[in-house]
Amino acid sequence: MITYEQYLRFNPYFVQQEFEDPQQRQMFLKLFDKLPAKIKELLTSLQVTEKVMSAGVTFKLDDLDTEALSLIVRKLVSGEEFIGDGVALMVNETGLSSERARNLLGTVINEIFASAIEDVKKVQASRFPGKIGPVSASSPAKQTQIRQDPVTRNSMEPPQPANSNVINLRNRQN
Amino acid sequence: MGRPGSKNYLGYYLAIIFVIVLVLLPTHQARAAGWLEWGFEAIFANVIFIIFTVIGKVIGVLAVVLNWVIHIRVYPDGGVPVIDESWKIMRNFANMFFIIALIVMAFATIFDVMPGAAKYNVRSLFPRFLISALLINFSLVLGVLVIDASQILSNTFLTAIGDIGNRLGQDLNPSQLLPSKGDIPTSVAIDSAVFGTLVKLIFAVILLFTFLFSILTAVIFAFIRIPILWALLVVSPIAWILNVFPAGQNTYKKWWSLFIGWNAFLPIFLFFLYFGLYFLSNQGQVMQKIAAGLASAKPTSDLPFNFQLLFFYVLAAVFLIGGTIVAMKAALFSGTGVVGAAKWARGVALKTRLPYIGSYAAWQRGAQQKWQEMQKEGYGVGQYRFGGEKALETEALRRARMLGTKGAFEKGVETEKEKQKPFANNINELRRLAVSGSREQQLAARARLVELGDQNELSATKIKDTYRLAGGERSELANKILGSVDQSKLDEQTRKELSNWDVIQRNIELFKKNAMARIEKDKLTQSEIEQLVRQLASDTDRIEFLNKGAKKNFLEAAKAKASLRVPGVVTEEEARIMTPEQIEAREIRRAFDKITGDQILELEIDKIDKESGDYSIVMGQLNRIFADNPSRIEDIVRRANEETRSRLDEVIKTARGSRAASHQERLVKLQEKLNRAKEALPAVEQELRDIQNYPTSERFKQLQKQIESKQKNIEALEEKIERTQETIENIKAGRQVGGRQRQP
Repeated sequence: MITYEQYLRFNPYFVQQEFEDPQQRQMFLKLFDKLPAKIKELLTSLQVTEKVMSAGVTFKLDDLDTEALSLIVRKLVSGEEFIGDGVALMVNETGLSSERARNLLGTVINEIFASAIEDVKKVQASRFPGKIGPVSASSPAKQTQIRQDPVTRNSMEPPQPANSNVINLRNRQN
Repeated sequence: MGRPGSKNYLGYYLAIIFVIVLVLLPTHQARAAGWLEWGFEAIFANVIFIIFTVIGKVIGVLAVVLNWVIHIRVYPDGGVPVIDESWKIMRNFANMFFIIALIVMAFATIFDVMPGAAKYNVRSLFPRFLISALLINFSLVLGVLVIDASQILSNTFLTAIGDIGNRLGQDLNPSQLLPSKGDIPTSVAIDSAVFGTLVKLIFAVILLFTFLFSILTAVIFAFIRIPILWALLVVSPIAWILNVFPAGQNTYKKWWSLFIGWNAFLPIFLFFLYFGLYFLSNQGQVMQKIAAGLASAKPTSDLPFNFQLLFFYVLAAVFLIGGTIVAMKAALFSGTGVVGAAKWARGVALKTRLPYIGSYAAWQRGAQQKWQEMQKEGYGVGQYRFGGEKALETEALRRARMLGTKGAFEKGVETEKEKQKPFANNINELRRLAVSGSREQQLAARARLVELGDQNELSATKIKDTYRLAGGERSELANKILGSVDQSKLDEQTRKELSNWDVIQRNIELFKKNAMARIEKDKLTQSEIEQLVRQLASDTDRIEFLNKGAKKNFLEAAKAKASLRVPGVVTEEEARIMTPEQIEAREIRRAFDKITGDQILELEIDKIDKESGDYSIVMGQLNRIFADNPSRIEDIVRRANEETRSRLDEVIKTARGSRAASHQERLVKLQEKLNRAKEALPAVEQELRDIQNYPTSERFKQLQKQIESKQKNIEALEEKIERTQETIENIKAGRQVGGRQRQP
């Protein structure tokens, strides 16, 4: 069980709250109210906070970089940033190499976004219509794949890098 | 002891009977040897002969009489002078009663308060009065119509039957039942063996008497129905006038049941007579069948011919007697079957829907409803009405109010409310009445406007004005109106104004309602809360009041609890050993221990002076309860809405911002990271320079990207450092964190 301090520090909803520009924060709060319920839950969840912290440990990130990771999670999930720019964001904010950043993003998508992946796709598609095509309902086979392929904390080793800057949300391995 | 002189006549009677017997006895030769046997045979045979002869003659006569009677028309086309004249006398006599009826109605209407008088007043009797006054003059025609209808029905059967006397003579031949050697010789031996002559004779006699009484009854009833119907026709005007009065309605109904019953007698009797005769007329076929069956008859198993014949006659008798009985019942016990059937037929006729017009019953019911409405709303159409129960009630209430009757004014307002129902949602009309109508109209309209939530009516001035209009403090209605105002729907200023109004201050219940609404809806100071608590009547009310404050006045209510030493907050022992500050701190802590998610969201922390002690108390307590259970904050964030979210964000931000030391630590770490990033950059830049002659190589491109990323990372770190420094400065300066806008 994480502490109140850890929750406020690494939770995507509260992360860097005290350092954020007030106007940007207000914009985020307004945006938050309009988000689907599953994404709201994801952003405020204690469990997700634990997973962010766990990913930080796995990828040997210090507290400041783990905070940065949490902020990236918020921005991608709420549609503040385009998911295709996720790797670049990771690199800039954490100083990780692009390969490691890509692997970290893959882990985040598999581990953290999984519970609300369809809603994340919808949000991204609505915010960046030119960059992402219309969202189709995921096939049962894909859903089964998510269920059958759970990434446990122990299996959170960095996956092999892929040679693409574009993250395909439909391919959970990216 | 006989009657005086009866002995003198007895001798004459015996002499007459003796002479008749001598005349009727057949003459035979005297036989000395079998004198006794002859005597018995002669007596028996002659007695039987006499019986059959006499009854046969009587039946013949009765059949002729019956034929004559049933052909008599009760009311022939030219009329019956005795009836016509008698009816006129009765009608004139009955018309006099209309004057009496009018007088009775007038008295009953004037003295409506008398018990039972309501049944006789104009509203109750007038419709029937009008109908009776009209139809009484047609009562003879109506009666004759019914008689003619029954005559038409009877004629159908009379035509089918023909001459009843002849038909009965031809078809009804009970002498066949007598022992005879000529007609059916083969059966004699069997009959004698099985039943014997005597049995057959007894049956024949009984059957003969049955026919006799059946026809006799029919003759009597067919005859007496004529004077009875005449009498009923003559008294019909009296029956109609009795219909006007409630007490006479039963007699009127009885008249109709008798009249219809006696009219129904003949058609019913004729129907059964026709059926019986038809049955008897086909006896030839039955006889042949019976005779054909006798060829193979066995004395032990098959029924004898005469017994079958007997059964056939019994059946015919049952039809004749049954028909007579049914017809008698129709006449004597009228009101059962025949009248019921007549009512059913009338119901069907009335309910049948005619094209373009509709059914009579529908028109009748519609008219009844309209009549009831007129009785209630007043006579006339649309808004042009006069009279009616409502008008009477209004008038009565006005008089009652003039006489100072208790509750009359309240009733008047209620009546007015009913009257205003047609425009219960017309706010303009209600507003007009609320200021320009009568007192009752104004109050009724204002009550409705309050129900509709019209804010014009919910101002303190209007409420006070309405209260005065309704009669003020001594008026039950005024207090009722004031009590019905939902204090939670008023605005804060109105609630406060009403709280200071002497009327509310004096009325414990109203004051409590106002105080409860205030602490639940309005932001109050601790002293205001304490003042209200002191004015409440009981400890229970005080505790309830302070508990209600937990939503809007959380901290103030907790402090008031501690300050006023509300029962259950501080024991005597605690009060002795603890300082007021300690008691207050403990009460606040207790309150925060119980605080709900919604209450946290309702805490208007942004309105608390940050320099005040309250601010740090609230922040400290929130940090404590969140630290004890982090999942609470998760729950509260999800519950928050657009309005409360920003407030909550400020609360959390402020609570976190107070830890300036941790920010300093963060700043140091960021600086170290920045330094490391800056240190790593030159090495990469050097390598890039080393291979600058191979700009198309893969390594060159990788190094270019690396440098670009590291520069962006350095920029990001510098920005973070800048923001952290800003935050620290703001905390030190006591400003809102993140106050300076970041450069794009």
